[in-house]
Amino acid sequence: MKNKEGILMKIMRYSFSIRGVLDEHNLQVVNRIATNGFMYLWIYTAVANIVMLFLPEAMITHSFTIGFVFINILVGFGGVSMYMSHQISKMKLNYQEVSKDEYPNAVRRAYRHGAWWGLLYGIYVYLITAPFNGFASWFTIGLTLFIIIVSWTSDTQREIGHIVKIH
Amino acid sequence: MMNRVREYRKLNKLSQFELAEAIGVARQTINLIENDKYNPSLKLCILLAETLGTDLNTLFWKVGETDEE
Repeated sequence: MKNKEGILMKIMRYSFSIRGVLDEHNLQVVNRIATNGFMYLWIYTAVANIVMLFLPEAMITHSFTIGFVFINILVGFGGVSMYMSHQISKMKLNYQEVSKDEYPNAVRRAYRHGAWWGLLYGIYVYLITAPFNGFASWFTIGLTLFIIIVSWTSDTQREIGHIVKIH
Repeated sequence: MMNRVREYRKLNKLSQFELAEAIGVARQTINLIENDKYNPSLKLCILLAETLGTDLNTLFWKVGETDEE
């Protein structure tokens, strides 16, 4: 009954912590959430770019363009990610049901997942702060390490909280 | 669509988790089917009937239909 998962589904599963079996019902739910997310993104992309096209040339300065890119990342990436995560949580697709024997393995997987996310957030923060504060500055390195540890522990904690032991 | 999945699962002394594992679906899906909140596909209906040792007509029927019809 298990469906073969494509690469996009694997990315989605990992990015949004979709756990357990993706059977026909869960697949329908995930498809609905993904379609909604895509439509929000599609409408936003169309509106934002059309507005940008009609703005007077004098307004489009370098800092304005950077601001536009940041807003796109914030709304397009962050907004849609938040919507998807919220919906997946609401449908409890990020809950993992395991037997007592499988519990330690599930916890180890949660630690690994947290470590990956910590690393990704760390790289992201480093790339944002390094151009302004220096690539080898104590502030950049310290902040990056802090973000890695905070993201790792918070993600691991959340993941472990979503593991349900079945007797 | 109404069903007797819960009844036949208990007859077979299976938990929702065991039935879900046997047919490769999530436990929540079995729970939704038993509570008439999700209409499974024909493929899943056949799998359920085979696993529970019965046939489709016994396990599923349309809303409003009775055994006598």
